[in-house]
Amino acid sequence: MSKAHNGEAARSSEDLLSRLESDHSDLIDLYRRMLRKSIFTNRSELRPNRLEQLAADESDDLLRYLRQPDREQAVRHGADLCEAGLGEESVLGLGEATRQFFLSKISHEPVVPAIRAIDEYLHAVIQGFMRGRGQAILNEQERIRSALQRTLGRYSLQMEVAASLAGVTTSILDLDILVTTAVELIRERFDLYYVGLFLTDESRRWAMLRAGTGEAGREMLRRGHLFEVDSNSLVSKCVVSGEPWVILDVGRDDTFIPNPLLPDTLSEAVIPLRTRGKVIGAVTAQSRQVAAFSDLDVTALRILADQLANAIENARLFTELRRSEEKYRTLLDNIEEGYYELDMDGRYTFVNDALADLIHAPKNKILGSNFQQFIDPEYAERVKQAYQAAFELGGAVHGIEYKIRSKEGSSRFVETSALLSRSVMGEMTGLRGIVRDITARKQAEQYQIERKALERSNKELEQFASVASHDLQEPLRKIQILGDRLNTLYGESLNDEGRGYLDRMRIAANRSQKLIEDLLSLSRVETQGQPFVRVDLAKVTKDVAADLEERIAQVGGSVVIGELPVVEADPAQMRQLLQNLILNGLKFHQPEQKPQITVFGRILDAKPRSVKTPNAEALCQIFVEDDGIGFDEKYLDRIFQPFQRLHSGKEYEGTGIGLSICRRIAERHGGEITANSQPGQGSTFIVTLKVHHSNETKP
Amino acid sequence: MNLDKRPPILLIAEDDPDDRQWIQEALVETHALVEIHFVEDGEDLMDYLYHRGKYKSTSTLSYPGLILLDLNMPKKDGREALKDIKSDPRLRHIPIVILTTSKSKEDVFRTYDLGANSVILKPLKYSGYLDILRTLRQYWFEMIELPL
Repeated sequence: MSKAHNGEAARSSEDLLSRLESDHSDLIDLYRRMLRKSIFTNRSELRPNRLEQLAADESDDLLRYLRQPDREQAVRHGADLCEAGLGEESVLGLGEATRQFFLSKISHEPVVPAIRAIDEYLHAVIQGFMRGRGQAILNEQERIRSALQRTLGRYSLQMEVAASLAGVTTSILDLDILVTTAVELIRERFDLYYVGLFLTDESRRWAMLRAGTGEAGREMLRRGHLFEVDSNSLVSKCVVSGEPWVILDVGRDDTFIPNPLLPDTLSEAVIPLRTRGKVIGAVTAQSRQVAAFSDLDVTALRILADQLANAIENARLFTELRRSEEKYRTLLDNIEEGYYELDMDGRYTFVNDALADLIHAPKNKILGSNFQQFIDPEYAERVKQAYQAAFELGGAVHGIEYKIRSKEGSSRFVETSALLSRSVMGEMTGLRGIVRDITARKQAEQYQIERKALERSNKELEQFASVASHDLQEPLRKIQILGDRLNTLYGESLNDEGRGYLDRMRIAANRSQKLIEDLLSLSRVETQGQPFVRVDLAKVTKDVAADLEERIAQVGGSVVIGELPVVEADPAQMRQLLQNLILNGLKFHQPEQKPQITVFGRILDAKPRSVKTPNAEALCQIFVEDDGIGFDEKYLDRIFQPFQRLHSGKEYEGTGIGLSICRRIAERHGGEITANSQPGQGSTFIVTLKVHHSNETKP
Repeated sequence: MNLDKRPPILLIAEDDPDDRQWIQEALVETHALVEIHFVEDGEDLMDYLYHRGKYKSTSTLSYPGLILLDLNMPKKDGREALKDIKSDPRLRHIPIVILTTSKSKEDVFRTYDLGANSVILKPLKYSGYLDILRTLRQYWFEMIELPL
């Protein structure tokens, strides 16, 4: 640009300037209208006073340039306009308005230099604006790029944290460990100030803190920190609504209730714990930064919270299950029947108290041991086979009876029934069963068997009796009759020796006959006994004495009858008993002495016989005293044995059956017989009998 | 007793030949005016009474006036025969005297319970048979009227 030209331009510019300064307010007004027109195309909002300011600034700037052109400053001004948030339309509009304004003012004068100066100015401003605009776009792009990058990085990190937390948490079945681990992990991975976890109680009236990080968490747990669900706390709102609640700046939120233990909290997000469609609590995440929780953060926390809630529910169910199992075990220990669980190798994995008692071994010795160890070897194989069949056929074991192995020889019979145990996956894990003590039943069965055997043997005895009474006696009777015929028809033709043989044969046959009859009468005590009825022993004794009157007279003896009780007995057998004993006394009298027999009896004091039969069994004793030859008590056992005699047939007749029958009768009446005696001092026979016989009327 | 009529039949059921012999001898010795017939077991006895088996053709048979019945016999014993006879309306009028070796009260009771008219223990001497048959003759064939 030349000097002359510059001088000319300056001159015209001064002229223009003086004009412009007088119309300054017009230019500002023009700018104001223009900015208002394009206000909605700006990049950011312009408040009315800012617009006023911009219009004035723009006017000042233009005048300053016209007075003292400075291109650099004009460019900066354009950049400032951009900075102020004006859009392209506003900036270009400002330029157009300036041009229009000057053209209207200087149209009648050739003021090309002045116009050029304005154009130069506008050009610089737009250049500055465009430069600023370009930078702004670049900045924006960079901001978006980095924000995107940050967000993506965070998102993948959060997803990773959520996944790892889910992995950790789902494997923890202890609720307390689970929630403690979870809050620590969330705090650490999300880089938070504090994380707390609340669970509602069963009534859903309270949300109680179950885990909290750091010293603050410990302190709150110690205090039993909780919120009423029906309150204004964030946790409560979250639990009630089931939606996350976020406070980005606690200082600007009136609803925030500051916690003195967490003074640094600037933002907080509360995420509900939901499982199976219900809210079971909430997790609070607190940050030292304002607006720490983006939508993405909240989403990641929600995903995490859902998994955590499921894990908590599982842990709760597991705890409940374990608790109910404990309850079940306690119950099992209190039932009367034995209960056990076996693994696939037949080892006890559980036994209740009742079974331990039955087995008679401490539990720690039973557990882990094979079941066969506690079964009587005779039964072990049978039980094993039953168990094996259950395993192989997938069935059950029903009522297997066996005897428990014992050292003391106390034989307990039990019956077991068992079912297969299966895991959740359906695999066989062993057997579980019950054991019932059937010793009493077994004993009853055994008793029945013995009773049957006894009945059978009684029947056999009866048959024997029949055989003896008919078949055995038949040939004997023949011998007797033939002997008799021989004696009658040919006795006279026999010599003395022949007749002697014949006599001895007939005597032997008679004795044989007597023995058979005695044996029969002994067997009839059991086989042909009559039911027990009330029997007055005094009357029976009197009758016997009357029957034996002739015999008593023969030996010049006497029978003294004392007091005798009334008992329940077989009357015919009582008669036989007393008759045999009295006859015995009459028989074994001292030579050349008149025998005296004394019979008396008494009811014994009712005393329990033993601890096992506490019901007193009334007993009575009958004494039959004689003043006969007596006997040595070392033969006491012998005299009651059939056909055992202390004297030869020459001294005292008889087969030796009488006292045996007495003993049988006493035994059949639940009693016994014994005797006190000394040789030459007489004997006292003592019969003990039960007075009552309830329900045991023997055949 | 009507002497014009045939003598009554005494039917003796006894398996033992010795006993049969002694009974026959004793009958002869006591001059009993009876026709005697022996059967050897319970089945033989029932055949006789029902006119069957080997007694089918002997049309002259008539019901015995008295049966002497041994209790122990092969095939069908005396108790069974007694029961059969006493439960048949055509036979139950025939008096039956039991001969037995069993003194057992129960046996004796049971025998009467089955309908026997008398129970006699078999004797241990031959003279016992004489006593028995003499008494039987006097009682059953002279003193009382039989349902002939």
